[in-house]
Amino acid sequence: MKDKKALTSPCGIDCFNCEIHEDNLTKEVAAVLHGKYGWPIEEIACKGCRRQDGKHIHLPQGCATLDCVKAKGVQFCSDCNDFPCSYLAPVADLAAIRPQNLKVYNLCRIKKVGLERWIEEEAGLTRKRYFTGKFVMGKGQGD
Amino acid sequence: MKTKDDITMVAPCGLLCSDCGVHKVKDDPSLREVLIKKVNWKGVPCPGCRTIKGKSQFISDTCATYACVTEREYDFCYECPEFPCAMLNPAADRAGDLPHNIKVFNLCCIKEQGLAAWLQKAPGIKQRYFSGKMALGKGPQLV
Repeated sequence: MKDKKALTSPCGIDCFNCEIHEDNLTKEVAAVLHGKYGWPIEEIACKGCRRQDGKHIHLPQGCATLDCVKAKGVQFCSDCNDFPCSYLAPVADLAAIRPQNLKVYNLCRIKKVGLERWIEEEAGLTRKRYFTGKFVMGKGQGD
Repeated sequence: MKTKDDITMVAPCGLLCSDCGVHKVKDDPSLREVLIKKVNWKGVPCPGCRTIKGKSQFISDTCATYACVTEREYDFCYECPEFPCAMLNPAADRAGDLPHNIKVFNLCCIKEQGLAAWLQKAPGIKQRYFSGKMALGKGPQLV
């Protein structure tokens, strides 16, 4: 796996754990996405948000959040005076298949424990909890 | 830290009780049906998390998050050195029925922008969460 620091997007998404990242993409997943969205097979593998400059077959015009971060000269949204703005607002729509609701939580954790430790110890677990964990009222996914 | 602001209707985890269906149903019977369907509501309106001291009708014991915050003598989770902990980990599970994925965003808004500014925005945040469409890179949009 390549430099995971460069593979963490400004909005707090762990590209290195994403199923369409070039190191993770399987033929099966590519076939499913091709069938579901019509994306050309050869354009599905992604190098990660920062390396693709926010552009991918599912976001050909580029990403407003990445453009904003670049314009402001910050590394992560959490470094911005307007954090957390509406670009990072949570939404139930597509919650089961897209990671948007992880952004602010991840950014807070990165700020707290540092990017390196978050990459090694937390990013994968947080994502797993998000997509496959059971939500318990009052406890979330705490012990 | 004990704030002088009136936080009676704001839960320690960042949910706005006064905008919750289980609270509003006392004045708006039209909410009854959806509450029964979505959260198996038994017909008793909730006066708000802090008023009932975290003893939610949906939880068999006191809310673990409420108990944790009050034991540590904070008003809100964001005051805690462990914020955001696993109890606030977002979850796709029940994302369309319950507001748990709003908590960390709300808490960050309260922390960074102040309670008064957040109170103005909070109903909109919740509305976009449940009714908005996810626009990649831009967050939820009402259509």
